[in-house]
Amino acid sequence: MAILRLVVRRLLSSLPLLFIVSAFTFVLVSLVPGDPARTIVGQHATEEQYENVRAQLGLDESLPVQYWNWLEGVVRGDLGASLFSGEPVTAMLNNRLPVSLSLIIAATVVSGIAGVALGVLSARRGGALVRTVDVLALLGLAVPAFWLALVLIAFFAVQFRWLPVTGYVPLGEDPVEWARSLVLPVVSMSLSAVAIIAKQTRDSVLDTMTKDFIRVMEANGFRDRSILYRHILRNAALPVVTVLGVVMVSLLAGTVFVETVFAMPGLGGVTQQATVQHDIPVIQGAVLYITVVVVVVNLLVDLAYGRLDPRVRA
Amino acid sequence: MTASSASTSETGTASAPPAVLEVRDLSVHFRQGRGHPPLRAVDGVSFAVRAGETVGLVGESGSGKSTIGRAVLGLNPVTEGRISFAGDDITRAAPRVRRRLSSRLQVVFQDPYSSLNPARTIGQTLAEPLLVHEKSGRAETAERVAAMLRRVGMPADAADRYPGQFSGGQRQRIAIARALMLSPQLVICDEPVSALDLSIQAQVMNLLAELQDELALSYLFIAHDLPVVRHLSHRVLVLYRGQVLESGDAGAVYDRPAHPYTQALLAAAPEPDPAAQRARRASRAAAKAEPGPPSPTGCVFAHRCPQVADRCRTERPELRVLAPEPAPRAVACHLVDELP
Repeated sequence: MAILRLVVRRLLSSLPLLFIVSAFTFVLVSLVPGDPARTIVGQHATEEQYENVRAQLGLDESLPVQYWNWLEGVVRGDLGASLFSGEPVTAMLNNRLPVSLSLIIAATVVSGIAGVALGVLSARRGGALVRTVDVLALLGLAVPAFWLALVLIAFFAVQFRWLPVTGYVPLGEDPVEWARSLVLPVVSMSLSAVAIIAKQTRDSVLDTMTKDFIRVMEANGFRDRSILYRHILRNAALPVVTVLGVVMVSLLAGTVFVETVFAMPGLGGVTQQATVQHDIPVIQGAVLYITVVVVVVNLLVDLAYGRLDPRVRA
Repeated sequence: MTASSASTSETGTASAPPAVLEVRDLSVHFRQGRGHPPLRAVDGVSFAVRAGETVGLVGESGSGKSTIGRAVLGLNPVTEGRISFAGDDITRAAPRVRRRLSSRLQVVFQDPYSSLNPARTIGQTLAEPLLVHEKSGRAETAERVAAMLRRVGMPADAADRYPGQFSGGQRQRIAIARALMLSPQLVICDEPVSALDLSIQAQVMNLLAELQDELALSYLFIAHDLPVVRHLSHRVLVLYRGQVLESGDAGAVYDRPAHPYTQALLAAAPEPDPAAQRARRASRAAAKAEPGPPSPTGCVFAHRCPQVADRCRTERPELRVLAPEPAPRAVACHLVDELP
């Protein structure tokens, strides 16, 4: 019951956030040089044709009026239509959301499992594994995901032909191909996330291991495994969950590059294309979707806190 | 080399009750890396704790007092010597043996904020030893947890709450409750009140004293705060750099400290009278420590000792029993007969 109230309260409090983010995006996009009407009519059109298109698209109105019109639509559940294809934005984004969500969720699961496993192992073993995690972390942070993606394509898709070069197969169509099409994008997105999570997990486990309640258990003859799994991990999980939330949000940003490199029809790709074209309704819609995803991720992190740490439950 | 010859005088008396804990010639050395000599955290320490008795270990930080406690608990590897509990050798006991032993040997640590698992309720933490050792039923376990909480002055409904909802003093009471769940014979108290406010310290110390009377507990009480140790201890060992410099009846050691280090340690406790405190500061400033590390062969305290003589720097004094004392008292100092 308390959880339900928390969820409702958090979702309600995110409404102003959505408003602010959308207004901010609107202003930003308008400030960027470029004019969709000019792009549509082309360079050789008459001034009259250009004015007609502007009026058609509603671009002749003042900025606040344009924003107000958009906002009115949002409240009715209508995000408008693409300035270029005329396709309704909601339909466009709903088609693309599963692609990005598949990427983000798969990358989060992969980097969560691999990162925690590496972190725990290096906390317990020390030595070479610690240095490996450190090098991996440095590498993961230094190597951009899109470059790694290109290298992976060159090796695993072009050279060895184990995996598809680009593209995306929907889960409903062919689960195996879906998984195969995700491997390279997910790996290239996950490297830095694995490193960050592994480092955080290691520090957190090491910190918990020095706590006196673990000392008491050791003095009582509980060694290693049973102590580690039952007591250390749960207490060490909190900072890791925090990092996982941050990592998920940064993975969302990563989809923009990775979807472009792998030619995947996801939110990131469409945002990138719309930004280049100044397709304001699409940008606004995509930003709205992404903000909602971020809000949900943060909500999940907060709920996980409550499960993990009684101090947070209040 | 080591100051162990006096140990027999501490434990060998025929009329005394049998020792719960006996530590003989204990040394714990830590490697300090290549090219450095090992750190002698504990260097040939012997003592015994009898049933119902509190033995205090005092000394400044780095004196090895906590390391001794940790060695008894099996948390530090023992380099040399022997630790026995009720006659059984536990120097290098396996985890399985430790688990069985944990019903009789328990510990209370210094930091009340890290000594309880923040993710488990007080009830879960207190019930844990019962479930491990006695496999008792739920109702009985809950009953015993509630009784123990009441005994240490906590409300019984504390069992359903988490450590984060309690203050430091309350948590220390809970840590004591956890240690006592299985009615142990000996509790190692490693600075159990050092992290608490003065008024709370007194409450927790009184609780420890009451529990000792009721349950015939023995304590190995480790602290740097001399009044605290004196209040609870029957006997004390004064440690410096891993060696016992003085040991004996708590009152005698405090009232008539024989070793220059014990005297310095007692003089280091702050004086409530400002004029006396000023005078003491002046005299302390006059007796400056000699620069450089202590001599490897001489007395460990020689470089800081105000009464130092030449032989102190070349010859290590052994613990010797003082003759005229009514209670056993031993001092490791060449000059013990000449000192004021």
